[in-house]
Amino acid sequence: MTSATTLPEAAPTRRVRLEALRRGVTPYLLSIAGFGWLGFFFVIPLVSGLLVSLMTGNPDQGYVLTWNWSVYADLFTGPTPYWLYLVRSLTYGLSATAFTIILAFPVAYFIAFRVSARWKTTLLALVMVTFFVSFIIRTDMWFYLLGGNGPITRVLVHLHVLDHGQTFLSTPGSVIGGMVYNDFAFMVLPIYVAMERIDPRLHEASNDLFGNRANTFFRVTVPLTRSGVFSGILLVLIDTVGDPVNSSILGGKETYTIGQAIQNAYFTTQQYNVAAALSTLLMAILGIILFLYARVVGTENIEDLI
Amino acid sequence: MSADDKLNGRGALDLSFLRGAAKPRATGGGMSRRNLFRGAGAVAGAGALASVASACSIQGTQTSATAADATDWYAWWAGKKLNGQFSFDNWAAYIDQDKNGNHPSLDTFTKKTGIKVTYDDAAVTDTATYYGKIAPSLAAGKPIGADLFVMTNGWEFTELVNNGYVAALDNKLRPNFLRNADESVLSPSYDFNSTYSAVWQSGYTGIAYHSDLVDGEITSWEDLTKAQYKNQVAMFGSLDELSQVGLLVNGVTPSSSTKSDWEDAADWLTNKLSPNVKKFYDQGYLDAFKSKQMAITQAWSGDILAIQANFPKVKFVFPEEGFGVWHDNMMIPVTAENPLDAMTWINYYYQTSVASVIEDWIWYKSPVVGVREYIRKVIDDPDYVNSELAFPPSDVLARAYEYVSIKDRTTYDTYTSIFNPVVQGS
Repeated sequence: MTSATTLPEAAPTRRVRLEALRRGVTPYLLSIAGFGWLGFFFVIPLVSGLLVSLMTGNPDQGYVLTWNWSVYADLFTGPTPYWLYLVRSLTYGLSATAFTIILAFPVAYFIAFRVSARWKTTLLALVMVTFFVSFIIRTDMWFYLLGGNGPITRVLVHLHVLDHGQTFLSTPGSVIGGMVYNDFAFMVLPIYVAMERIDPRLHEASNDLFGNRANTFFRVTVPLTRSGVFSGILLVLIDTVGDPVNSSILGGKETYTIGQAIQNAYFTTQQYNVAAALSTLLMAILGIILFLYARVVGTENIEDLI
Repeated sequence: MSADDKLNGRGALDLSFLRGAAKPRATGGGMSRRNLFRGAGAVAGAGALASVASACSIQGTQTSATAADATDWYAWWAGKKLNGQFSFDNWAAYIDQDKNGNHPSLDTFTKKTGIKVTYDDAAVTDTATYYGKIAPSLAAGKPIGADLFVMTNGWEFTELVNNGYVAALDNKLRPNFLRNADESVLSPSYDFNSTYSAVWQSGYTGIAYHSDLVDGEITSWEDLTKAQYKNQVAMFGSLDELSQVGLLVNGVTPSSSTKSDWEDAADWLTNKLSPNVKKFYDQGYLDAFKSKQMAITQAWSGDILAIQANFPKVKFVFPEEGFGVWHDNMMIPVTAENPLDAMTWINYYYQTSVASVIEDWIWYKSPVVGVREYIRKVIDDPDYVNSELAFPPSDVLARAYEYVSIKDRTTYDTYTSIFNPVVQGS
């Protein structure tokens, strides 16, 4: 623009205005694919989920939209304690997210700052390597490892940490543990990317300003990796709160989660409207939590998230 | 126009529609239109978006039952030809198998009849999932890839019949079934006169426990509520398996139970049994039990018989209050491309010599008479023949009960609303 204004008289012509228009429109044209993707895979499922939740009927005679909003009130007043499963899922998800941060931060730190460039790719690949095996099989393997005849339990029984017949399975701990294990890479990668971008000279500057190691870490490194942690939290929290797999394989009678309740409403009781209402409610609650979180601690600059 | 309609057989269709509409459950076709207007009325004024939204509905599956009710099954079968092949969907490890992974019984069948069998033993892993997989194709009137599949008696079985997804079996085409089927499977409670099915295997659901991990002896369902077994018991998450236990403990015959019986049963399950339960299993209970995840579990007889060689301390109990006897059934989808070939197999299977060879590998309970004697005399396998687990004595068999059999959606909704909370817990 500045160069355009320095041009002689002839500048504010039709061509320039067209040029400006083109510049204004181009970003929108480019984002059509993105918005299309978002519309197709996010908005349409969300709206159709909401619509199905407002239908009444059964799989035999079909479902008809009757704008039955009371289905949402029934979720909380009915005999099934959905609110309990919801609170439990949120608790599990939040705990799992907290533990992944605690575990992933040192790993990302190690790979980003303490390892020579040659080894970085290898170590990152090792973090990702579990993805080559199906999620269900990985979770099932923990079922075996933690089982009564599994190696971990047998060693712990020998050491008298566990009594005979006691295992870690079927407890909230094993469910949260499974979630942490399965989502570990989702936290390591964004934090690593954020750390990778920190200019080493900032550390030197901190040193020059008499910042000791702890000060440098807490006042320079941690604030600059905030965006990574933020994306990690998005990925891990959303994934774990709705997850039915860890709780059904590694959990027990008292670890029933909202994800299992949705699955049950769909397959066992075949109440598609209830299943849709639960999903919509879960999405809404997660949406509100993440929106508030983004407003309070999120970065101003959306690019920092990428 | 009207002449065209007649030529196109429209008259016949109208008639079949009326026959279907006379049944209260088959009125789905007419419902959606009325409700569409009701829905639109409720949001009048909300604009174009609302009217678009109110046109949304999910088509019911019941409409196709109308056609099934009107089908003349004798004519249907008369119109089918042998094609020299059929495909068969079954559960894993549910037919005889040699070292190379071949199935000798199927090979013999092919040799004798010239019909080739495509056997898929990984097709069925659990009833609800398999139903979920085949139902969309059946609703659309398309073949499901299998001409014969095995389905346990339960709600999905009822749905297959009610939705008109499976063919009624012509008795003229299965003389061996009428001659050799065990009395208990000729007309089971869930399928009058075995109209839509022929039993493949039966089995019992009882209690299994590691005798080295458990103090004392377990003989009844009531025993599982003892304080000393807290957190050591595993039960099936299947509502049919759970309701069976609750009803039998209360002295009720499951197949003729009522709503108030169900409430009492659920009450016992929730308040007495559940405090001791560590987990309700959907699948994989056997692996968990083998790895001593839990000392006591609800279990299927054939599974325990199969692992007892490696786990000599595992005991199986036919509980005193009674126990469930279930049936896995062969069914032919209406959309099957080779139904007559599949039917030929059903008839072939119901011969003592054939069923015995298969049974001596599976070790559950054959629906064919004379299998035990045949295996004793001809095949000579005393391990199976003398097992009380496979052949309970008659005083034990007197305590075997069929499951709750639900025939319609309203009852099913009531049933799940009573028993589902047991599994979901709080």
